[in-house]
Amino acid sequence: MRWTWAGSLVLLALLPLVVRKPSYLDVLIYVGLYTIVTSGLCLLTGYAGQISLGQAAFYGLGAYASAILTVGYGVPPWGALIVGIVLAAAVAFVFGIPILRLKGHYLAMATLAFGIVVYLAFVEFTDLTGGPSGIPGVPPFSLLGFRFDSDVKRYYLTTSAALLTLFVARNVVDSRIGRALRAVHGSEVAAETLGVDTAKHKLQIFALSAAMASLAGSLYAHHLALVSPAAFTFVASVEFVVMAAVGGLASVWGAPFGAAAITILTEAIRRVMPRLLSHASGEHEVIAYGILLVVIMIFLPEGLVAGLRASLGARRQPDR
Amino acid sequence: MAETLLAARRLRKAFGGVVAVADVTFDVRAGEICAIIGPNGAGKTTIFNLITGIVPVDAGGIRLGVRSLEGVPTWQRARLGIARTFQNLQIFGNMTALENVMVGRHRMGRAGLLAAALRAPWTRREERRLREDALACLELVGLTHRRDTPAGSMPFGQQRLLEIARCLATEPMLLLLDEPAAGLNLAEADALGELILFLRRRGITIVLVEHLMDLVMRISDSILVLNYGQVLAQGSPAAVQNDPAVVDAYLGAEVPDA
Repeated sequence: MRWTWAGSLVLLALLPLVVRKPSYLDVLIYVGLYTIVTSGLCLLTGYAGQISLGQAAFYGLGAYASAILTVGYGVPPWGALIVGIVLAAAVAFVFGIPILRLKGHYLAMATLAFGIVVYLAFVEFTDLTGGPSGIPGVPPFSLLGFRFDSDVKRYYLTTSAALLTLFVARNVVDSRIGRALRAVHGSEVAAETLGVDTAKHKLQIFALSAAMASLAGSLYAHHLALVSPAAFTFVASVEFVVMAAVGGLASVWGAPFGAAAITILTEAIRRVMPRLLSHASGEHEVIAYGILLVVIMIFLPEGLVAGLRASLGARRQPDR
Repeated sequence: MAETLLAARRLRKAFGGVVAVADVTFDVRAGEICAIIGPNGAGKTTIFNLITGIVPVDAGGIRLGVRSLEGVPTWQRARLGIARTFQNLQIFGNMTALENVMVGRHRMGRAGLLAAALRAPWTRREERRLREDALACLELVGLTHRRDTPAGSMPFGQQRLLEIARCLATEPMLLLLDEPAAGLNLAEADALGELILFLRRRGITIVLVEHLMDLVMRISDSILVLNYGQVLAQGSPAAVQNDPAVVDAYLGAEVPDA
C-alpha cells in the first residue's frame, strides 16, 4: 500500500515532464478538480448511501465565492477559498436538515431541484454574479506570495489538493464515522437502534461533500480566470455522479479513476469524432459518449476500480 | 420483588384505520425474561417499535426506570440502554461481522468527523479498543471464527446471533428480541435459549417476542399475551397456560359435543 502511494506520487510529480502539450495538461488539471468533487460524492453516495444530483451547485458556490471576493473585494484567493468552503458547507447543512429526511428518488429530486435553484440564482442575481456572462478576470491562485500563473503550476496545485482530499476521504472511511455511515447505508433503522445519530451523520457528510465540491470550484475559478453559470448546470451534477459510478462507489479510489476516465474520454471523443465523421457535431459526441458509458457499465458494473482489482487478482491467482 | 425497569402505560398505535395496539399496559421487572406472545397481527412488533421509538405512540407513555421516553429519539434510547433485534433481520450486509458489532460500540467512541478526517493519533487507539470490545461480544455468541466474513453472506442462524452480539456491544440494560428463534433448527433454538438465560444472568433484562412455545415456556419468568392489540392475560407461564381467555384465543372455544 505504501509503495502504491509512493509510486503514484512519483508518477503524478513527473507527469508534466512527459505531458508538454498545454491542452493535455489542461485535461489533467480538470481530472484533479473532478477527483475532488467525486471523492465527496463517493463518501456521500458510496458510503452513506445518500444520492445528490446537486453537487454542481456547491462547485458553483465555491467558484462564485472565489470570483466575487477576489475580483470585487480584493480578498486574497486563499481567504476566498476558505469562505467558499464554509459557505458551501453551511448551505448544505441548513438545506440538508429538511431534505436528508427524504430517501432514494425523493432525495434525488430534492437535490436536483436545489441544484437548479442555485443555478438560476447564478443567472439572475446579475449585480452579484454578472448574470449569464459571468465574472471575467479572476486572478490566478496565490499563496504566501507564490502565484500559480502557469498550467504546470496549477497542475501541481490541483493534484496536491486532490491528493489531500483523497487522504481525508480515506481517513473518514477508515474510522468510527465511516463505519457509522456504512451502517446508515446498510440499515438506517438498525443504526439508530444501536445509538447512531443517523440524521447528524448524514448532515455532516453532506456538508463535507459540499465543502470538497466548493474547494474544487474555487480552484476551477482561478484556473479558468472566468466564472459563468453554464459550468454549473444540472448536466454537470449528473456528470459528477457518472464519474463516481464509473470509478466505483464502493471505494474512494474510484474517484480519481472515474474522474480521469470520463474527462479523458470526453476529450478524446471531441478530438477523434471529427476525423471519423467529417460533419460530426456535438450531438454525435454525446451519442458516442453514451454508448461508451453503457459499455463500461455493462462490463464493469461495480466500476473501474473493482474491475481492475478483479482482473489483477485473477492474474495473480490463475488457479482460482 | 425486583423493581420495574420498563413500564408501558395505556399504549395506543393505529396505522391509518388499522389499530395495531389498542390499549396495552404492562411492566417488565429488572432482571427478568418477559415473553410477549399472541397471534400474528396482535401488535407485538409494534410494541417493540414503540419502545425503541421507531414509530411514535398515539397515546400512552413508556418509562425506562424513572425516566419517561416521551420525545426521546431512537438513537438516544439506545444510549439509555435499550437494544433490539429485528424479526426481518437488519444486518449491515455491506460490512464484516466484526464491523457490524463495532457499530454497536459506536456510542463508546468519541472520534468525530474532524478527528477522523485528520486521523488524530488517539483515534487509532480508540479504534483498537472498540475492535477488542466488539471481538469479546462476538465471542459471547460464538461467532469469533466469522469475524472477517461479510455479514450478508453468513447463514441465517448466524445472522440472528450477530444481531444479538451487535446489541450486546451497546451494553444494554434492556434487550428486546423479536422472534429470535424464527428460522432456527431445534439445536440452534436450544442454544439460543441457553444464550438468553446466560445474558439474563449477566444482568440484562430481556423482552422476547416468540412463537416457539417450548422455548417461551422454558425460559420466561412472565408472559404477556396479546390479541388484537389488547392484553389478554399476563402472568407466570403456568398461570397463562391455564388462563381460559388464552386457551380460547389460541385454540378456539370448546364446542359442546353434539
